[in-house]
Amino acid sequence: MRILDLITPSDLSRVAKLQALAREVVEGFCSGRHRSPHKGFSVEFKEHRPYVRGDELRSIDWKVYAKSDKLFIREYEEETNLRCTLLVDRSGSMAYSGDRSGGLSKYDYGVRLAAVLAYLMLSQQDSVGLVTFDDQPRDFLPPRSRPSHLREILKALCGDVTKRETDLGGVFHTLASKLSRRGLLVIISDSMGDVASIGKAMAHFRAQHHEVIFFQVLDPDEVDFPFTGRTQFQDLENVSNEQTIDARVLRDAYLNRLAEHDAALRQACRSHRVDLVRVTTDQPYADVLARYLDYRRRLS
Amino acid sequence: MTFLNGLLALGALAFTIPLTIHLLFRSRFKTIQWGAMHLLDAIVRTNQRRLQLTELLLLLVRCAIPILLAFALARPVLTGFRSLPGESAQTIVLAIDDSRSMSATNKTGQTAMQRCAEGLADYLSQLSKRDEVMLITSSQASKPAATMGRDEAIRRLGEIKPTGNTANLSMLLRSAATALSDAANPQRRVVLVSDLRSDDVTDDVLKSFEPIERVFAAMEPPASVKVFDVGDPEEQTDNLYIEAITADSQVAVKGRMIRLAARVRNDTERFGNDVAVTWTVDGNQVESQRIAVEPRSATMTQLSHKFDVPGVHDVRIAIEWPDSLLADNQRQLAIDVIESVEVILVDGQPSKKSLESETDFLAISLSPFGLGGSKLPDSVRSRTIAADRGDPTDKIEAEIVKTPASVIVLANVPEPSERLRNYLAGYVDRGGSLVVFDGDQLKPEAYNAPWKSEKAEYRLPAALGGVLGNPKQREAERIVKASLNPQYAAWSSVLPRSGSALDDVDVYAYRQLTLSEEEPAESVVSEPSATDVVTKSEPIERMVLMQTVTGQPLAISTKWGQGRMVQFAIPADGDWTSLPLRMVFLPLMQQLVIDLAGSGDSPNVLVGQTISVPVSELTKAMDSENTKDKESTPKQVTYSIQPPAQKEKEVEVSSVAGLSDAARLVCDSEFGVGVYSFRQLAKDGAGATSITSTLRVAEVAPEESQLRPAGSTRTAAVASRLGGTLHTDAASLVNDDQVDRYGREIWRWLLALLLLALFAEMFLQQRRLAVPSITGNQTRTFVS
Repeated sequence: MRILDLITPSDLSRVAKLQALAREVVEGFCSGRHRSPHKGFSVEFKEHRPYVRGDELRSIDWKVYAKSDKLFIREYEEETNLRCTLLVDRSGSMAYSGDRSGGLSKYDYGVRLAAVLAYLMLSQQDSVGLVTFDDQPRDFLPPRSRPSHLREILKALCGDVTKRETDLGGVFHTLASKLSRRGLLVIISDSMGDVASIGKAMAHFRAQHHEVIFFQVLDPDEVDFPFTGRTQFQDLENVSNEQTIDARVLRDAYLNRLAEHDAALRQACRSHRVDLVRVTTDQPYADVLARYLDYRRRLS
Repeated sequence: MTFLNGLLALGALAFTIPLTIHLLFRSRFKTIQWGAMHLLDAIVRTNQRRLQLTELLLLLVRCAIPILLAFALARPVLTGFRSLPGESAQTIVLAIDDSRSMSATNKTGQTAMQRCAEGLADYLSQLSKRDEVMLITSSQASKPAATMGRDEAIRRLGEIKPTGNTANLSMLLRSAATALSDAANPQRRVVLVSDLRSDDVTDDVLKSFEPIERVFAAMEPPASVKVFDVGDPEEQTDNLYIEAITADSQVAVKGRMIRLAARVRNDTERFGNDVAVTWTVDGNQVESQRIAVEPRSATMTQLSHKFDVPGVHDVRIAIEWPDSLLADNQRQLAIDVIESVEVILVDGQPSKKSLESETDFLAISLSPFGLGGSKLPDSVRSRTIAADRGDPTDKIEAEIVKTPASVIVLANVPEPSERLRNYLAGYVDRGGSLVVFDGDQLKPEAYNAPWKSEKAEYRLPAALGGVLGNPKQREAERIVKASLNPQYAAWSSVLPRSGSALDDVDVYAYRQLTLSEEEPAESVVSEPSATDVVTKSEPIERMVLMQTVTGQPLAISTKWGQGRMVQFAIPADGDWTSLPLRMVFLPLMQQLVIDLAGSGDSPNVLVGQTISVPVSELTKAMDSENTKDKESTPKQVTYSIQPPAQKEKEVEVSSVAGLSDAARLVCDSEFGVGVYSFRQLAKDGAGATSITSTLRVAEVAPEESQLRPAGSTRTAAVASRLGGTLHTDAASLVNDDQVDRYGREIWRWLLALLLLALFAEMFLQQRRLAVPSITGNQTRTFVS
């Protein structure tokens, strides 16, 4: 599995441009708002390269010069303390794909978003882990900073949705016990569950000093409910549950219910200082990510 | 319930269309694999009952729409409202007010009678040809109702002329009730059509409706009553009219000036400025004036005229003023002009000395020119008979045979014999006039005795009592002051503008007269007139002409049969009073005698009353023409009458009961306002033809010119008292009739329900549906 299997080259090039932006954000996490409890930086030798004009003189490895009479620059592998874990919802509700999302289900969109983030983090030598879940955690990849770790992440992401129900609160509580070391948690989910339990889970994360970003992925159909006429809605998480209604009749009620749900989620996130980013699958994920990173940079 | 267009009711089956659509809609749906079921479940659970109810309501409304539409087009009729068998023949009595006020126009220029004719034409056109229509008009309510068919009734409605006198609605309805008793069909109804002015609907009239309503209710089946008010309750009365025209005497003497007065009333809010007034006598204009009449007031205009030809003359006054009722802008009056008045003075105390006789002052006052040696003609010619020796009856009779006299005066005749009393009673009964003057030698018991004519027994209007005052103490202060009754038209010209005409008259003594409380013992009982239903019988025609300031009568007038008699409590000479010595005595006596000399029949009648002209009136005229050739005796005499705007028609001479010697021409003034001409055509043996004529004038009561509407309350009371329904337009009348006969059409209700259903459908649909609005490129991202 390669990153290009999930992300188009053009998108990948756009993501690459975000690296500088992402770095600032990550530094913000580490030394800005979320100061690390550990002191100093660990430096590990990586390789030598020939000196070129403009390199700093202090970077020259004088010992090698003494042996070979050639100027080499000693490069180090930088190690940050950022441990990012991507929590990707693969429950049945994430399988919905409307007409306006270009055939991309919410899960597909979430996978791409997670892949981009992983790529971005790993390319900055940050540790990235992955957890997929439905009503319980399914795949668990602890954070690693090796470039080869991306392949493992992508491989885990390529699994299908499970058609199981969502239990965000329960899953997050379970994960909180496993993710004992502080880090950055990126949740990618449609948040179709009990908001109160989600809030409690957030509180749990925050109690462990995790920085949390919640990407709420929705399909445009779920936002404006454009259906007309008599429609049978079959639950993607529970096949036996179906409702046959006149869609236009319940549209206002649905939108009101969605607004209430959003308000409650927003309130829960605000109260636990969790960044809530609502995205719809008709929006380019690169743009969404760029806007968010820009927002965070300006905030820091 | 029945349908007028029954087939269209089958369209109600179209309700299956929305039902089918609904069922199809329920069975056809698209399936969506939905992720956000977490949100959808909750709202479906919450709204399920409401949704099901709305769906059901919507389905019912949609099914009801084609049903209502089909039923409305099918025009259903609720037969529960029907009070009459629909198809059975019925008799309808149209009781129509054809009084003058029905010719008043509204703002659109349409008269009430036109509205009546058009409305009833619409109403009658709904009837079947088997229905029977009876037509009664208020002007001919006493006549049997004409029975006709629908089409003939519509034709006749257009011919009704609103020229009648004030409508007597009670009598009109009684006539309708009488007509209904002769109805050919068991189903009967009365349609009363009137403009219902305030004068038409008084409290008495409303009260008189109650027994009539009982009559209608007692019929089997009960007759239904509909009141069609063709007046306009919102219309402001706008009428300037001639209220009355009067003369200072009922009769005029040839060659002598008579004063005529007309009262012009302005019943508008406009100032009647520069109103042109034209006086016409016998069709010839004699004077033209311009007057001003202030709003809501009246003004008088006068004409002094001298008639040169004896007979009945037509005096007409007309004003030019545009208003809502033009018919009352002119008014007519018939004036009886006589050649001269022959008076026989019966002197109870004759004397050869000048002014010592009992009748000397009277003779001078009646014929001042002749006695004064003037060549001017006197309007009254008097002859004196001494009555101091024996019964003067023979002398009087001989004088009358010699020259008929219009008035006989008894002056201080001591004791009229029974023969004299009876002779004079018969004389008055036949149309003559008698004046009795008091005196010192009068014996009251003889005068208080009955005066018997051939047909009746009369008594003096007041019983003679003792003499009050002392006639011998002439130097003493006068005991009373006399005054004239201003209501007596003949003396109205004598009355000064201020003060009393008798200010300088002294009365030293007078006979005490006691007015009898009882009616005169009339044995001639007239037939009950048509107006007896609401109006009381004619009051006793007794009038106090002169009285003292304390109210004691000094002169009383009454009617005896066809003639009149006047009784004075003072003598004709100057023994008890200075009246004969005063200048006012002359016009008083002249006017009195001229008034008494006039025929007992007034030449003026109200429209609708019977005109009765004595043939003798025409014969006298012919006799006066034939005096030159006394040998020509008519062999063949025919009589004819020409009503206004009608052709002349020949009539037979009828005789009124009790007047076998006084043949009369009788005619109903049913042709409205105007001059009714009566002619006598006599052919003698030689074939020569002589024509004599006289006339009568029929007018409408001035109350007809008061156009004030009765008001909605009283109008409604008319219908409620009659137990009927009130209608102010033809559509309402026709609709009510349709409901009575066939039931109530409810298509309007259904149409209203249909509109309601359409609105309900839209409302339910709008409430149920919300059209989704999807706008592209919306930024869905937000950051908390």
